[in-house]
Amino acid sequence: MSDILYGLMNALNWINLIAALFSVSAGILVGALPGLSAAMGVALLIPVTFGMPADTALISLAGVYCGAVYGGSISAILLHTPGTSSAAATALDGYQLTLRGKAGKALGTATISSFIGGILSTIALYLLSPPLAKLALSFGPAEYFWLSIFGLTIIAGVSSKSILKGLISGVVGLAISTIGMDPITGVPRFTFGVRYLLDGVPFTAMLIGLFSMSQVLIMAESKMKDKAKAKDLEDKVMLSWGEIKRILPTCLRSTVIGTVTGILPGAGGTIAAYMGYNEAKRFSKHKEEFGQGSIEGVAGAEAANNAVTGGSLIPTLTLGIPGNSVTAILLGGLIIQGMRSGPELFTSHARVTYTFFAGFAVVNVFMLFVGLFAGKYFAKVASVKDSILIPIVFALSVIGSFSIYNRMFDVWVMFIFGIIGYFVKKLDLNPAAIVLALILGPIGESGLRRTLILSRGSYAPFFTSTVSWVLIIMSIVSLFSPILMEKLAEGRASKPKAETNK
Amino acid sequence: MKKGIVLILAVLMVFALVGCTQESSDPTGESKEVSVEGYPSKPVNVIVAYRAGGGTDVGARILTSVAEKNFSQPLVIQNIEGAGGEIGFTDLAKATPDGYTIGFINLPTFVSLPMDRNTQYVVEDVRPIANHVFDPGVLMVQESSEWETLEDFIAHAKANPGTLSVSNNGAGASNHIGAAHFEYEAGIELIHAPFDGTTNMLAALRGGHVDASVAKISEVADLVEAGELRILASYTEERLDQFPEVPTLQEKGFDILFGSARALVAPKDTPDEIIEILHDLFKNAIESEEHMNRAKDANLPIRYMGPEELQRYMENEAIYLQEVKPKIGL
Amino acid sequence: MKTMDQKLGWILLLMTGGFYYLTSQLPKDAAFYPLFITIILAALSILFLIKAYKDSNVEEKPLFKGLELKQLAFITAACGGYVALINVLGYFVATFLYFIVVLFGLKVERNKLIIISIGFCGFIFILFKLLLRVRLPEGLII
Repeated sequence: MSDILYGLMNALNWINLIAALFSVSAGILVGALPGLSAAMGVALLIPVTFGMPADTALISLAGVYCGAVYGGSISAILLHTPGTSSAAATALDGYQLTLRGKAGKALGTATISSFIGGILSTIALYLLSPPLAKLALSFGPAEYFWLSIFGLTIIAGVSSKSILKGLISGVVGLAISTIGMDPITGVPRFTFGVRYLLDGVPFTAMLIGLFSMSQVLIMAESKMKDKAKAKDLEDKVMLSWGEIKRILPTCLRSTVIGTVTGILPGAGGTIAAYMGYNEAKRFSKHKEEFGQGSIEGVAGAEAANNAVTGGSLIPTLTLGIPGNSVTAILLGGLIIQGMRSGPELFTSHARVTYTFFAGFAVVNVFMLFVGLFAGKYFAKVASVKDSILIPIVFALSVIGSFSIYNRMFDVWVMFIFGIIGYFVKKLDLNPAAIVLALILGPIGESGLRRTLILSRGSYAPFFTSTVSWVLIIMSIVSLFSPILMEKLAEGRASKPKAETNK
Repeated sequence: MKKGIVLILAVLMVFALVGCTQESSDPTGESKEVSVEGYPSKPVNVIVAYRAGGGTDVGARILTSVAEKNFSQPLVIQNIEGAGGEIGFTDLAKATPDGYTIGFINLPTFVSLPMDRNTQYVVEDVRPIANHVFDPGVLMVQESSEWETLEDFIAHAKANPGTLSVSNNGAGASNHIGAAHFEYEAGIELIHAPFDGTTNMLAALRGGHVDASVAKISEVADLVEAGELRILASYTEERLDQFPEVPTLQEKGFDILFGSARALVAPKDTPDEIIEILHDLFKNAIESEEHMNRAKDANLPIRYMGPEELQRYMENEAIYLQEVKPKIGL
Repeated sequence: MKTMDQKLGWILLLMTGGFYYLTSQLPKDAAFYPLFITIILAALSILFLIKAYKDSNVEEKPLFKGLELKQLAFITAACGGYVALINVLGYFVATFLYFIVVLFGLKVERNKLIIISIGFCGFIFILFKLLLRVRLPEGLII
């Protein structure tokens, strides 16, 4: 207990506070710029942290991590181009709010929800690490298969227009995900001898093209006109109590979703955000708002993706198994600092570890204040003319895709998917479905094939573990609940008619 | 009107596709003259063919941060991961041999990949500078498993052929080779389940989804100390310092030696003088106290080898693989 | 008059055919999953095509209403040209030219044009080259 208190006090000393504030702000900036990702921000910071004491170094890395995941929502909301892949779901309703002149409110919602997700997942980190870490290990190939199935059922949920088009988009995503080496035999599929495709189409470059560059082209097809200035609109960043009460259940639910998703290696912020959005829609009393600018939609996505930050640290610190790509880098950073994951972190290194946890909470608090304070300045970006945004967003997309692997190949991939993305949006296909399928496809395929290899062809292991059954039931519910809900709604609607007929 | 847009965009797509497949003969985008005078005059790129935070990356970062202190320019790590290292290795092999691009290779993977598939590099495309890490292989099971000794495991495998599963870090990757070679020598039949990388391979073992795994000692030493995993045997000539109670496979009658090395190399036409400068730089860094301490903290077993020794090691690895792979069916 | 949806349906079927052809060249194990995808894609495309023909009487939402074709083509070409020239002219020269060309083409007034072009290049230079030491594409000039 004393270590925990020590950690709290230590996190509040001057150096660590300044590190937290600077790193969160830097993280928000990195996240907000379309093309720069959270993983990149953390990786860039690692050499800088070499000279720092371990606890300051870790707090800085946490700051960039949390800040970047939240920062991605800023450009997602204002420009319909997610700054980080985990903000892709935020763009769904966030941008709609901007179009309706409520950019400030969208930003405020994102800030508050990100804070709630981040801080509550920190609590999970403190209290629930051991059992949650066990959960991470219990996920074997069969369980990952069912996880991908459950994820794919969300596609119907994020297709607000035509379900058929959503499904087609999803299957196209699956097809694209097969490009690369077969995960089991290593045979190259559809790579045409291009070695950079051996690991699949570069994901981040593809995402930047699909969301950011396509938006550039969409801006380019209409006349450049003046946009309403922020001050002409009745738009505040801070939410009213009523609004906060309204998004609270969504935030809590999304926090759970995000924390659990973060724990699973291989599942990260993007999936969590879409799941959070989908569940927010499923349980909302105002479903019709979704797709037109629902703050619950923004809250559902943002709380989930920030909850992943805390959740992903759990297996990273306790088991040495990174929860996602950012924590993989963080783990490397830890090792370089001479700290290894496992029980040692809670015994001989306990003071540093608990300072880190406390620092994580501090970072989230700073994120809240920076976000709320700077929100009204951020919102002004929405009133910048398209003619200026077009070159800026595109140039940033170029840097973003180039700097992942320092090669122009990724920039061309971004360009191609930018054109594809333009057509996808114009033809009412579903970019969210494509992205979900791209991530979940490989997880599903390798899960399926590994299970069959281990069972020598028997399908029994798919139906053995508790986790598998939970996921199967969740998938069935997820698939059929929209239909069930409709029937229930019809039932309720026809009752009053029957009454008046008496 | 509509046709117009589609046409233009289609033309641009083709244009872009051509741009994509244009193999950049020089992936670093540089094409300057090779000169030894004034080396180094700008930062040196160090290619790591695996992702940031992974084993190779951690070792690389520790070594370069120490070496940088004696070098007038920064040593910048570039992570180019994918395809088991193939993408990064190819970029390294094709880089301009001007001394401003070097990189880490993993053995035996660097040698085994061209044997498995049509890679765009050959082993002779690089020249050795120095070896850094040597990580011996070990056969692991869970601490809670019923097999206390190697004999127990083999007996169970013989009684139930084709039921025991071994996870590896990728089909044809180093751990797969190690496991298959053991399987062959012991005369048993195992199921090999490929996973995506070492962390996932070990997670499968720790979660009880497979029965055993062949890994490198640096990756599992902590887990054995913590009582989660058990080593049945090591693929070394002598018993491990850290775990003297673990028998070697040779002791048990199986003549298998296996381990993974991480070495610094440069494109093959890099001038001799530059290689010498780099070699001396890294040798001093490796042998320095700061480096040895940090490597110990990070669980990295260091074994320095100079260029000639490293060259011989690489050739021996090739011979070993050529002999063994057909026997074990890889 | 074929609607956009109908054209899309045919394109999808064509893509499915191409995908099937490429899949057939793969060894059995590796081909299993792509084949599965091909079948689903084919089924969905056919369903989609049928629906598109059934609904061909329905008033189609004008997709390309108010579309400034010349502007779109100009921007796309400028973007493509920019990417192609980065390795030739060097990142900063190419980016600067790109900004000037695009802002001029979109009729941004001269003062703003110059400030933004220089400002953005400067911002990137400071942030990426000096502060973060991130590599930017190399070319013949800067």
